Amino acid sequence: MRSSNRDENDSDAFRKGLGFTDETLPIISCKEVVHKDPIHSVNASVQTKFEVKLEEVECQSVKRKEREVQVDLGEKSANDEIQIDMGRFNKFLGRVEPLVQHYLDENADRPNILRQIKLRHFGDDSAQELFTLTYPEVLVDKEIQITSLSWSANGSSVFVGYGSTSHEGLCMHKGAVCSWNIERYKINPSKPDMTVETTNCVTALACHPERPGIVAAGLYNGEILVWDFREQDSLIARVLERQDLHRDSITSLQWIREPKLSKKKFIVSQDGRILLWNPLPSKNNLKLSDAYFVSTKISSNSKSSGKPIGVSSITFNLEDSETFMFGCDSGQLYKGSLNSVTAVQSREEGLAEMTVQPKNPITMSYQSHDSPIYSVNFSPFNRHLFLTSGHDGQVRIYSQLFPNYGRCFAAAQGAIFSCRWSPSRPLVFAAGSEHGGTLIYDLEPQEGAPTGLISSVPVQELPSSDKGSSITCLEFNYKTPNILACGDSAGAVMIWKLAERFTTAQNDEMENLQILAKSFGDS
Amino acid sequence: MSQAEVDDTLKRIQEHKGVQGFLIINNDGIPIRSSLDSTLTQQYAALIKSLSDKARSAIRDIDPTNELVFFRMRTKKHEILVAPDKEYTMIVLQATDAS
Repeated sequence: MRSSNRDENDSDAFRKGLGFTDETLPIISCKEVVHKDPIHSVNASVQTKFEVKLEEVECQSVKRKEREVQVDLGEKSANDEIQIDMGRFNKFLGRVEPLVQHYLDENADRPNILRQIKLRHFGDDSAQELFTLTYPEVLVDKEIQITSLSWSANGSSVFVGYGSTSHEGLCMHKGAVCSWNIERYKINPSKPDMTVETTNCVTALACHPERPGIVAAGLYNGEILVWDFREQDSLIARVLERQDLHRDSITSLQWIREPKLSKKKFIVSQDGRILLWNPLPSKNNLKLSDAYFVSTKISSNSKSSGKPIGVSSITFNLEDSETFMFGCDSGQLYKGSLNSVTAVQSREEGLAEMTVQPKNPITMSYQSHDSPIYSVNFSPFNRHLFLTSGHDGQVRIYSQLFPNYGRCFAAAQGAIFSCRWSPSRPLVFAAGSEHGGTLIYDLEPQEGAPTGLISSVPVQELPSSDKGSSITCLEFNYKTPNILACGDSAGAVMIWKLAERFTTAQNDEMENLQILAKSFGDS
Repeated sequence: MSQAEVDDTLKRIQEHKGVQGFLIINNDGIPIRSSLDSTLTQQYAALIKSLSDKARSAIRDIDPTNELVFFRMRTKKHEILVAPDKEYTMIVLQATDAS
């Protein structure tokens, strides 16, 4: 019943329409009830029953004795500290030596059959394009392209230098150095992880091979900058002595290991100077530690003698860190040595004021190219072989023992701006060309081909980002040898992952490389 | 006298065709004699010692009357010959692509 009433009421209200009215309710007051409790306070003092005892005692070790101690640095190696019983050691050797000798002889006599087994690669030969990295802000200036690139010490970041190769006079461009970490989960190919702008074009770039975060760059005006990207204030060093500065653009930069301890830097410049800089991070400047000057031969009747030869590219021998090869703008190719002491005879201004007197580094000259040499590179597997590439479109393999080149590859794809050996396969190298993208050559004799015949055409061609621009620089990733970074003139860096075939070496590949090197002597 | 004999034996092993280096370690894995540089020596000593112990115990587990006398590992670049003994272990590296 009640419910039905409510229903009616409700429907009534519904029909009338729900109205909202303001209402003020009467104020309800509640009395404040405060219990006034008297505050009890009690004064009491507490005291320990026992007397507080205080004692003062001074303690000091007083005896002093002076005695001089000196470590005797004898020629003792740690091994000798361990006491070994010569007699028992001898007996051990007596037991073990026949066994060891037996197997040593067996190994020496028996031909290594595993060597003849060739790995057969299954699967695709094609390279996979991982990323195309661009930095649109810097590429607004249409003349800017990639001038150099370098992998970081741990192989996970690639540093790219932007600049222009077309200059009429002073450089008016703004260059930049950017880096991308390609191992990051989410990589944005058009947004670099880190960017640094420079006052003019960057022409050379090199990352420190052991300490991550340290990058050195050479600029168009001859300046050298060293950054440490882990610090807040990145720029850690630059050249301070005005007279030591290069007069022309830096063409190549490399970190080399000095036999004593830390790495030094090595710079090559177009004005013929090869300088060895020692970065002193504490003093924020670069100190010149050695200088070399390359100049034309002095002859009494020629006015242009003693003029500097522009050095365009340099490479260091991996086993013998004192030897290096450099290629010049004139096409000449020389071997230099850090130990040379021959004085430079040149009237070139500014040489005398340098803090370190330059020397002539040339020890041997090789058959020259007919055009500027753009890139030289020593093989990581053989201490005699090196690659050169030049404007004439040729890639040549030389052995440092013989003045004439051993092999020549002419791909007819325009100038070859860069050439690099693969860090994992001794017989593979890559060349960056003007029209044909990146060319990969494999010197491995193909199955079924007559022995000794090397394929002289590239086995693979990787196009540039817009299929038409030239590849200006390329670098293999030494930590992950199947990753190849190619920078092109359109301003993009392509990261390729090469097929298995180009990264796993065959069992006898080193040997084939040695045979190739020796064969240069016969031709 | 025995010192000279020891040196003689080691020299013979060192000068064998293809031998790139050798090292002798005691039971604690401490190198006694070595022809390699110190970092490499330490590396080989630690790693080969543990491998040798593992191999030894494997053979012993399979057949308690048997014992490990010699083992070698052939790698792409060289062959590692290991001769474990009661007190010492000798490790020799020999190049495999010596033609």
